[in-house]
Amino acid sequence: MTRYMIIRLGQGILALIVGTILVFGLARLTGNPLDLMLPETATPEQRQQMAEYLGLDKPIYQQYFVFIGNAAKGDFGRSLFFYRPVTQIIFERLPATLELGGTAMLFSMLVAIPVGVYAAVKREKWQDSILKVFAIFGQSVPSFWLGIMLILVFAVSLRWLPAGGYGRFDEHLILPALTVSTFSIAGFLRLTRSAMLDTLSTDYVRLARIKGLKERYVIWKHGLRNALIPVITFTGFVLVNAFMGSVIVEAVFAWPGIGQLSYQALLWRDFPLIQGILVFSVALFVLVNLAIDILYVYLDPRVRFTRD
Amino acid sequence: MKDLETMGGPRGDSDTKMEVSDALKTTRKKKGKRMGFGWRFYLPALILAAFVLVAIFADFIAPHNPVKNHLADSLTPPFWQEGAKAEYLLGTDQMGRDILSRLIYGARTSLIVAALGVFLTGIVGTILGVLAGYKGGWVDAVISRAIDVIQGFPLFLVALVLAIVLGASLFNIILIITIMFWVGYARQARAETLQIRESAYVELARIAGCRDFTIAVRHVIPNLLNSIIVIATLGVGSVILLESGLSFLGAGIPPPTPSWGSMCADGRSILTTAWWVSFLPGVAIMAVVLSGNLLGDWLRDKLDPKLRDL
Amino acid sequence: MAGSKDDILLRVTGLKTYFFVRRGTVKAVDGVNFYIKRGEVLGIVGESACGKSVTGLSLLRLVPDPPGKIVGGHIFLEGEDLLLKSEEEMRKLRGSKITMIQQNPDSSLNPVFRIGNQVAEAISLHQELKDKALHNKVVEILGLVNIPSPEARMRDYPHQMSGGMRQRVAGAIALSCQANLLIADEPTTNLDVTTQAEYLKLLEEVQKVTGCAIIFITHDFGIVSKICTRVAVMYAGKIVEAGPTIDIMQKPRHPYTFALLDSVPKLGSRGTLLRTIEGQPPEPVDLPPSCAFAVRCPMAKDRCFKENPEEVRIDDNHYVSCFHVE
Repeated sequence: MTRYMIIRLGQGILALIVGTILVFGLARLTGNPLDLMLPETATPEQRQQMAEYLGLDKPIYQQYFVFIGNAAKGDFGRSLFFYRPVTQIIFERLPATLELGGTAMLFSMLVAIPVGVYAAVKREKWQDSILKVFAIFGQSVPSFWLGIMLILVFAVSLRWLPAGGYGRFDEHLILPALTVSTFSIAGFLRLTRSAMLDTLSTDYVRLARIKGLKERYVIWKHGLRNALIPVITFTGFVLVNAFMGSVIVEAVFAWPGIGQLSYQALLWRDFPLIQGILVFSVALFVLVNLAIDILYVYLDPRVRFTRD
Repeated sequence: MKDLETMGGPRGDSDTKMEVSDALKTTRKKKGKRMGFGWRFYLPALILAAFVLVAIFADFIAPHNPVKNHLADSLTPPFWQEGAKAEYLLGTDQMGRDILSRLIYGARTSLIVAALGVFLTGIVGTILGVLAGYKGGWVDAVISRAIDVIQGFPLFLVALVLAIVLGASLFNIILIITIMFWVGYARQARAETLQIRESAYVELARIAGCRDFTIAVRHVIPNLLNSIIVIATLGVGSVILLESGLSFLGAGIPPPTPSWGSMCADGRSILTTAWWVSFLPGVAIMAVVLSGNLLGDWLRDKLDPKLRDL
Repeated sequence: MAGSKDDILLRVTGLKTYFFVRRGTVKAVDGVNFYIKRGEVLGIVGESACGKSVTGLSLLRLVPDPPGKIVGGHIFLEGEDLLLKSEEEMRKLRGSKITMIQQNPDSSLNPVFRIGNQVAEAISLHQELKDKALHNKVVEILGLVNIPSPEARMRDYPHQMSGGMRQRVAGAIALSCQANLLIADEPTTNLDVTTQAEYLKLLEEVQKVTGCAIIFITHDFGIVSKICTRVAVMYAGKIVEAGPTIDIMQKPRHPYTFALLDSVPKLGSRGTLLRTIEGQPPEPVDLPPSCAFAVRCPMAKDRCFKENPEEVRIDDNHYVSCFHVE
């Protein structure tokens, strides 16, 4: 098992390195910051001064190492627009995104997994067919449109909920969370269903029935426990996307999270901030995957005790 | 006596005979649905066909010029509301542009993006996947690493970054789509190539002295086609969702070209008074994406059920 | 018929289990009759896909549905027809009256639970035992199936054990159920020969201890000759010959039985070609009414291609379905 963990760790670090290189290169592409920060009338000497100040006169690979060095210390420089340290800004916005993403994910799993089990049990019957269609629908709705429509119905027409902004969790959180959840509910539903179908047709599930175990236990104790393994992998994917990818939803609902921050940063070509956000998401991705790998060890004894 | 339906209970020989033929009759009905082209095929296929036709013949179908402003008639509601005008079937937006025409031309935009996007991504992804699977070694290592890394990035965020960095244009959108989505095809292609590579007839071909390239084209690719087609059909939906999301944020197809995503964005500010401006394009998006997904699902059931997990 | 009617534990008449799939109706079990007495060991022999496993599953009513269904016949266990029972009644019978050992030891144990746990589950379903007593019982049963250091092995996961050990655990689970009827579905097929022999001995001991009847499903006549007192030969969903093992092995009456026995390599036949049966068993989909073996039968006549032979009684206990016997 330790060998497995070491390999995973190594892969994670590799991904981190590649990711940061990509981010570094990408951020440079957004446009030469010199042009952004200096008026057109600046003299070459002034440009040279600014370049030195920003460290842009050094060769590119040196710039990269400076970047990495600082990044490891958590220093991504100052945001060009906010004039504050990038790290500070990111961490300010983080709770809002966590709240939205976390709630959405929890909600999705709580709803989708039992329903997925149900669909698998009722395989090929009408309940299963309806749920399958539901799931496909869920994956076909454009999230921005869903958000707008929810606002239309619940905020504008019915006036039950606010149209956007950040505030009370039982008011402002509901619509955005619902919007974000829709896609992942559909995904979890299909995955759980298919994993359960696989599990329920195995010999060991049949063994549970042969023993005379009540069907309820057969499904939940023997079936789901095994089916959860592939579902957990998907959780990682959803997590990263939920935390970092809800740019659209945050835009629609004016939710002050990292998604919205990213969009602003991009519009203003605030490249330290962009860099910071991207590196942050790479790091998050690596961490989440490692966490899932660790979780795997507990879930699947075959991993735990493999003799390499 | 308990309900005997589930086990076709034995009630004597003659009853048993009837049981069997009844069971066979229900199977024939079920078989017809499973084998053939049920509504699960026709509905999405029809919608997609309509979509393609509308997009191609936009010039002939659209009643108005999609970018022409008729300010006097702005914010006209669609035909089923009061205050509607006959010449603008689905109403107009705040600039007085006819929604129906914009939807029609928007279909063209979406079609181009979807078709080119899926096509290019499919080719690039499949080629890379086959390369990785067939050659193995460092080629495989590099490509596999790339797949892993790209898979982990939050899709939309990266696409957005690329869109803004590269600038909004049709070409860039297609480029971005290719960069983000080739992974799905490559993964599948690689996995299947690995399998096929070990199969008997490939061994024979190699022994017979065929060059790698020939083997790849004549043996590997035809077998991949099934799953690639499924992935491609399912991919149509993802591509359109991505493009419309980017357009919604203003990072996609630039105006004045009508795009369903940007149409939704246009309608945001007038949501309370003119909800149809945002509502209708979204319905269009959903219809096409849904059809793509339904059709892809149907294809998968028919061609290769093992892909169920995608 | 030998023996009094009272010791017949299970009698199956006209059992039909069909699978309704895309390409047609697969008549996996098509009108099967047999019986087994208490404490007896009955073998069901046949090639792959002849329906023997499905027969076993049908007895437990665990045929996967969809696409399978038991469409006809009767299964009388201690006089009661199992096909008339409700699912809940059936569930109570499973384990307590009938149990099964499955074919593939790699997949028949749940990979995420320790084996002690899995055995304990079986025990607690049929006996009122808890905590310490339960623990001791698990150790006892594991010992009965010759698993060394049961206290320690209890905490193992299935993948940490060898195939032979896993089948023993499966045997332990079957033992815990204390059933009267054990269906062993090719339990030794995936084991090597030495392990096979050990396992057979184990089954014999289990039988002595519990007095259960065993239906031993296999494709290997060699095994049949070792432990089965009676045997039924299946082909394409039907039983073509059934009777005491000794009789059948010495004087097989059905051409298929004859060919099967003939194809077993015998000592002393070195240097001669192995005998095989020409052709392949038919896909049991949409079969026409004829003797299913006719196509490969060296003695086939016209009639064999047009009608299905009925069961003919040869001796006390010996039944054959073949036109040539009449």
